Amino acid sequence: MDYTRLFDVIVVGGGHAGTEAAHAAARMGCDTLLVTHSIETLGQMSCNPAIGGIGKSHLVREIDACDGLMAKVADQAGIQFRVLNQRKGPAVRATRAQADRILYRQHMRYALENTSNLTIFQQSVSDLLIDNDKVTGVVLGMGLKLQSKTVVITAGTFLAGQIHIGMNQQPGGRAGDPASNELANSLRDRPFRIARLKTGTPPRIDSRSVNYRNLQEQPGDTPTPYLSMMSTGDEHPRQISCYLSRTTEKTRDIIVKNLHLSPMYSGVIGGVGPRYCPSIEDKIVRFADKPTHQVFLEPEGLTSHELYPNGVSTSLPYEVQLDIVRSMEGCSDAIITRPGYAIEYDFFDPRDLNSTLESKLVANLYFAGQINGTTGYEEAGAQGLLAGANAALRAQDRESWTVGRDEGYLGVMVDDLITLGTQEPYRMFTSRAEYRLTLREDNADTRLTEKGRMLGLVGEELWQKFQARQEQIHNELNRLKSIWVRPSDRCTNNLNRVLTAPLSKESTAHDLLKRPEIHYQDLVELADIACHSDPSISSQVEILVKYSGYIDRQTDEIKKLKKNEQVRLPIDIDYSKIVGLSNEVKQKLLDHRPQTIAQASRISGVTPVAISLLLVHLKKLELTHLAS
Amino acid sequence: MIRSDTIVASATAPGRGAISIIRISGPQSVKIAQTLSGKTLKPRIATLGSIISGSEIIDTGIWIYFVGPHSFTGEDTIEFQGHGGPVVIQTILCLMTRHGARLAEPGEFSQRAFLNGKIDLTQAEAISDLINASSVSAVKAANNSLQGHFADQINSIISNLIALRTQIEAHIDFPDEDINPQTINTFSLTITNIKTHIGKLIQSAKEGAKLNRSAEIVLIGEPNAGKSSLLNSLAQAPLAIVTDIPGTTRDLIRHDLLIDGLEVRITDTAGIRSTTDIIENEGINRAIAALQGVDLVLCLFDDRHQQISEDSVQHLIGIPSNIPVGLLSTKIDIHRKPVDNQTRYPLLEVSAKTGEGLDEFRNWLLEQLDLTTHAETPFLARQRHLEHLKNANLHMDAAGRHHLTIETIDLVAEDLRLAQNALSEITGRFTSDDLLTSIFSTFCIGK
Ligand SMILES: Cc1cc2nc3c(=O)[nH]c(=O)nc-3n(C[C@H](O)[C@H](O)[C@H](O)COP(=O)(O)OP(=O)(O)OC[C@H]3O[C@@H](n4cnc5c(N)ncnc54)[C@H](O)[C@@H]3O)c2cc1C
Ligand SMILES: Nc1nc2c(ncn2[C@@H]2O[C@H](COP(=O)(O)OP(=O)(O)OP(=O)(O)O)[C@@H](O)[C@H]2O)c(=O)[nH]1
Ligand SMILES: [Mg+2]
Repeated sequence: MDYTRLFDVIVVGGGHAGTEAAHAAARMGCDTLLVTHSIETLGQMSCNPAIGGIGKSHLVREIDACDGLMAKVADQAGIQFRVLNQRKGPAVRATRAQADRILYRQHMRYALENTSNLTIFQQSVSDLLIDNDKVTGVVLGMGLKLQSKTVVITAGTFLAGQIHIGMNQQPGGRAGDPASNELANSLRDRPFRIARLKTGTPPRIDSRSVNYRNLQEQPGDTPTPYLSMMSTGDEHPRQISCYLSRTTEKTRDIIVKNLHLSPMYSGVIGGVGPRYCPSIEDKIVRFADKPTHQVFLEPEGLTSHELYPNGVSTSLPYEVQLDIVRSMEGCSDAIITRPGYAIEYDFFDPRDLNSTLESKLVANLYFAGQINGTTGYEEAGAQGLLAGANAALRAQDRESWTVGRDEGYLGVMVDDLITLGTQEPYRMFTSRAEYRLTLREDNADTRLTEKGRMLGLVGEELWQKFQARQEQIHNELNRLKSIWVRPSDRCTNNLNRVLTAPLSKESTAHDLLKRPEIHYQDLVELADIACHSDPSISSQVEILVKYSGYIDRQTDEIKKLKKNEQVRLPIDIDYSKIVGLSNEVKQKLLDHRPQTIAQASRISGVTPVAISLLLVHLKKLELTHLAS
Repeated sequence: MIRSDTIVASATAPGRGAISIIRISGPQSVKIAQTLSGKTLKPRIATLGSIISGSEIIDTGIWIYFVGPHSFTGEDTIEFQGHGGPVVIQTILCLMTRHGARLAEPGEFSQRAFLNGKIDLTQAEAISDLINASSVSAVKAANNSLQGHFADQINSIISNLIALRTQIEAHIDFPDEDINPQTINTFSLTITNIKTHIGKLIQSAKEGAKLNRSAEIVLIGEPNAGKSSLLNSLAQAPLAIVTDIPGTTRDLIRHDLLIDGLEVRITDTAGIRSTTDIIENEGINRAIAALQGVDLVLCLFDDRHQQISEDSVQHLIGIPSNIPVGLLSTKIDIHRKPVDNQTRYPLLEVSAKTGEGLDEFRNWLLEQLDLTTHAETPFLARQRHLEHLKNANLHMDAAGRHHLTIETIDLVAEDLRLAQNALSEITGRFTSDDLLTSIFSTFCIGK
């Protein structure tokens, strides 16, 4: 690493946000430096070894649509793949990969080490160089100062991280890694709003000590799904199964008896946990009358005997953890290899960021990942992509990139975070996306690849593939529109058996497909229409045709939103001067500092009347400006 | 909110004057006007035409088309000058909303005018005040409309809808979780139930609309103050029993009057005093309860009161919150001395016996209830609620039309989201985060 260089982008932290950020900036041609505690832990999965799942796979596909790493690496490291919600509508289907923790790390590291424009350096960062509210570089733990045009911080759970096991506590960034206290302290001296959050992880179990005889096996899907557009399915390693165990009445008794030893319930942990139940203590306390809870036993990898018992995250003392595990079905002789724990860490109020993830307080400084109050690899990775790309754009003096709520889950997440902030670790759910029918796992490329190409994120290979795919979709749609089926045709009898109302007039295959009761496969089987050779194209076409009514309506809704999205609220707007706004609304606007009228209208408590008053005020400012 | 939809409102006070003006502004305004009148309208030329619904002529008047930006709001604007009274105006407004216009929010015409640069800077403050003031009256009107049975029904519809969405969204977002949600069949059933419920509410709200159109007035006073006599003489019929025995009236006696085209519902009540009579006490409780959400309270004082203080008023109605109050000195045929009014409320003098002062009283009433163009009448508020209910119903219909299978669950969820959005316009925003809270408190989630 050449310390005399002026880097375009320095990324602090090599977790899921940091790796995507660094890779994105490097793809865009920026001289990029990734500084992280340890090269060995690049892409380390701190908690459960799985990528994707509902809401999350949408983010993974969006990263992939911009040629990012997560989907590709997950395909190379995934040892069990399933499509969740397979039988439900396409908008809510989601691919989930159980990953081999070691393979994941290896492939991630390999990809990064073979990225041009990217330098990786193992060191901790202890401070930022800030000049006139503008970041100019970082200070390393060993004292060295590095200059850069922009900095992306992705320190995850490491800032002032505090690990709890029972009443015992020690500093740490995650099990086995030191916390990042120097950086935390120096950031606390800056004007950021900082608060604490908490999360937890279950103990790990030695697979050889589990009795599988009565446990339900959960194999992956066949054919094995994959996440990346660039994948074919051939990159998967050997596939293995997960198993389903359950807690018992005994588990409940153990927990109830020992609750006073839980740092979360005895008040030792002050950080806020989520409304859902991340720990088994929570589940037992909040849903006292539920006799049993399911626990997925997920293999940690092909070369490891460890199991991740998904569903029993806990910070109770080790002795209690052992009792809990042994009270579970099939686990009476289980051996724990690592204790579960809870971790508390600093996060930065995301309302201090704008929609590029740049800080509103310090220019050229970007935040991504868990430090923005989110939880999850996918949430972190997607933010990393956005922050890395924007840092690159800034370094290149180019216009910034934002993703709208109508363009991606990434847009929904960032907008939620920066306008509403968060009181709990923010996790993606499809119900957060109002344009869920438009934002599907299957069309991330249609939504983002072209933009990614313009930004310089998307390489030639993906671009070619994307264009070919778009053309095929287009052609297939046209083909269906050009095929006519007449009531007199021989095949019509077959069709009528499926149709709710018999075919009465000449229709195109496209029209037929619009009917809810007709599927693409019916056209092939009943109407003798040649099948497209690529099932992913035919299914895309089917979705487009079937959803068109809904998609059109969402497009209308989106258009209306766009208008308000375009009315910007100046940063220096003085809310106290606005006639008629209630004090409550003024305070909310001050706290959130929305960037646009649309954002303001999404803040709870900001009424339509307040929005009207804001608009009138803006107009007044404009007129005053014109007059002077 | 910046909107480019088409809005409509009456530009004249209801119930007053010979001419009423209805204004439509926005991209659809010309189309709506031409559909309703059946005429081709030319810019700035007055065209005589009727408003026809089916085969019925609702009103006949003059249509004027102002092409944006040369109009009050800066948008394409239509004015219809008709002769109809309040009932006709409401009918016309309904017709227009059915053809794609939306009832204007309070102050919205002026706001659009300002935002489109039709009103200069000096008036910015005035516009803000206007938006504010009208929103206060709108909130009040909306609250009044959202009371009692109507509110109960809406709340029950909304909570059923939330429960349903909680189930469906949990189905979608947490398929791997150990939850035992209702089956698809019960979803369909619940959708049908909610739909029926909304349908019934729309029906009853429509039937109730006639009553809701009137202004509500309550007469209150000590026993023998002359409340029942005043009611009888306004109604010109012996509706309430009148005797010189204090405590004659027990039940609430309601009557709908038409004063100069304005519908007024007047309520006679039991005289307020402390008594041990159980029946009378119940009557007094009802009298107090009747004050809720009315447009005007009239406190009656007879010749026993030479002066009226804030205390005398408080004695009758407690501490008046935001209800407008008026004072009536009654039986002026038997006491001619002017009453000393020490309160901040206006005072009028009447005699139910001779009819003296009644004309002045009626005029004063109209002024009090003069719901200016910007103020929101309970009728408009209710009308707006009805629009939202109908929208919600459309989406519920769509949700019900899907043959609900697991495969279409995402489409059904979308229709339900839209239905909820429509209802949220009545009761306030329900966000996706609220939905998550409901999911997390219903199901144990967290792998
Ligand atoms: C105990 C625990 C339980 C969790 N449970 C869940 C869960 O149940 N579900 C879920 O979805 N997610 C869970 N997560 C969260 C998930 O691990 C994170 O969301 C994700 O890893 C965040 O990615 P990130 O890139 O923001 O940070 P991290 O993956 O934490 O990466 C941060 C990186 O920054 C480096 N770093 C930090 N400070 C410095 C510095 N000063 N200088 C140099 N390098 C630095 C670190 O070494 C690390 O490489 C859990 C995490 C932990 C620790
Ligand atoms: N002279 C005169 N007497 C009146 C007038 N109005 C009412 N009275 C008399 O006052 C007495 C009480 O009148 P009501 O109308 O019954 O009074 P109220 O307020 O309804 O009394 P309660 O129902 O008992 O609370 C009757 O004897 C009426 O005839 C009036 O304008 N002039
Ligand atoms: Mg009486």
